[in-house]
Amino acid sequence: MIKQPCCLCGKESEVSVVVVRNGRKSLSRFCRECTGSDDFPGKVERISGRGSRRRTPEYCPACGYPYRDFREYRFLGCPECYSHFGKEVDRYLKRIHSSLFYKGKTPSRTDPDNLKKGKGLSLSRKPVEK
Amino acid sequence: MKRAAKNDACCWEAIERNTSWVLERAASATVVSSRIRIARNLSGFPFPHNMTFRQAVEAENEVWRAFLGFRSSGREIYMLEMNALSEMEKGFLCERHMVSREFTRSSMPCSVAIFPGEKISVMVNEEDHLRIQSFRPGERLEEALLDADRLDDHLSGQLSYAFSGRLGFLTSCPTNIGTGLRASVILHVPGLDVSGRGKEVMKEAGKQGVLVRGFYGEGSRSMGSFYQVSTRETTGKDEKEIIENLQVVVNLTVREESKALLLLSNSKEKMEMERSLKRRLRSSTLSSYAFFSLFSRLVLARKLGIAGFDTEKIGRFLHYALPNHMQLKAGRKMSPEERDEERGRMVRERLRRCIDV
Ligand SMILES: [Zn+2]
Ligand SMILES: [Zn+2]
Repeated sequence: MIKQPCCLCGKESEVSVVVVRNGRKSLSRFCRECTGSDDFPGKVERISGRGSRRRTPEYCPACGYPYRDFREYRFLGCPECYSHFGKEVDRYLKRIHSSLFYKGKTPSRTDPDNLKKGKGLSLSRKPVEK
Repeated sequence: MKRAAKNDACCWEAIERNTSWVLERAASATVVSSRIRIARNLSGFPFPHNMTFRQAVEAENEVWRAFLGFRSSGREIYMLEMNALSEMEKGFLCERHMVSREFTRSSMPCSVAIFPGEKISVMVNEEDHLRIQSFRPGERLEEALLDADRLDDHLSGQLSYAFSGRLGFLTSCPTNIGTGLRASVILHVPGLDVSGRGKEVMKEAGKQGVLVRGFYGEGSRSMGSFYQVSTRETTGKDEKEIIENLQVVVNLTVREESKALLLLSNSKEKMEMERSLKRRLRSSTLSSYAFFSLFSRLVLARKLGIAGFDTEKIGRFLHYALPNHMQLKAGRKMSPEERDEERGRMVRERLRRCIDV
């Protein structure tokens, strides 16, 4: 398994946290220092996409992919990078596509909340020791 | 329905027999073949370039399970683990356009599934988790799309695709986002090439929003008078609209090629063409580029009434002029020089017998 950086500070992570958002679970990695801080839930909420004034995280909380790699190689690390690096990716998408309006087919098995923004985040605060 | 086991040796011959569609019309048609490619990803995994070895195996297993439930119209499907294949075998699949060149170099767990009944190949863990490719000889993009769609629909019922209502299908490179669709055709335009208008017409096509590439896609050289033309936009339009744009360009090019042929058939160069063709058919060695060039001239000669041959028979030579096809058939590795000699021999001893000049 690749050593993933902490989603908040980028240091080596030691703890996995299950983040439940829109009814879907995802696993994020954090360092012990960050999980111990008082404002931990607030910080996680901020990187996980609630609120409009959020900053682009340095690492995708879902897969640990660094934002700087997106800037350098123009590849994303996982499907969730699209929402976590939201605005920056959108800006790039607008540059390379003449229109972003999606008119194509819809898969038969979709989760309609998939990646929709503005749907709150519920955090199960149970760091999984690893 | 019989399923080929993981890389069982006897399925190799069958694969060879069942995947000749790509170049089936190389010696007869201007639009040699059509291909639809759609990119799909699983929602619970990082994109392939960002996966761990274990994640890659897990994703691959999930996809394989989903494949097995598909009701293919063919008797068999072939599922091949790339890492279990020899370099020659990988190269062979690449020369048949079943897999991309980058795919043959991947060190991650990856595989290809071939559905001969649908004329489909699916690369698993290429740039995206799934790259569905549907082929048809001639200009039959719509049919190719229908088959790709049917497999895609089946898979989307089994797998959880990475999809956003706003952006469409999410891909590892944002250039493919939306439909994940790329349609392409292989065009053969020896008339335009010989009359010196090939580059100009292809440049014109490029202005219509399509990409013109070499025979093996991105970054590859063009071979003979073959060009690969593909769509560029993957979103902002639906699948049908994307294809329509390419069809317009294809029709335009086909018309230009006919015009060029008409002009050539009335020209005085025919005698010289015949002489040069005869000379080339006696070459002692031929590189694959030289072979493709000869092939294009042969097809042109037939269209101009200089030479006569059975197009299906001649078309088959094209595949076996390719390095990996040749080596696989010989059952051993051959140096480039050896291959050039073998190509010369093939032309002098076998191909020339099939032609009336
Ligand atoms: Zn930290
Ligand atoms: Zn990510």
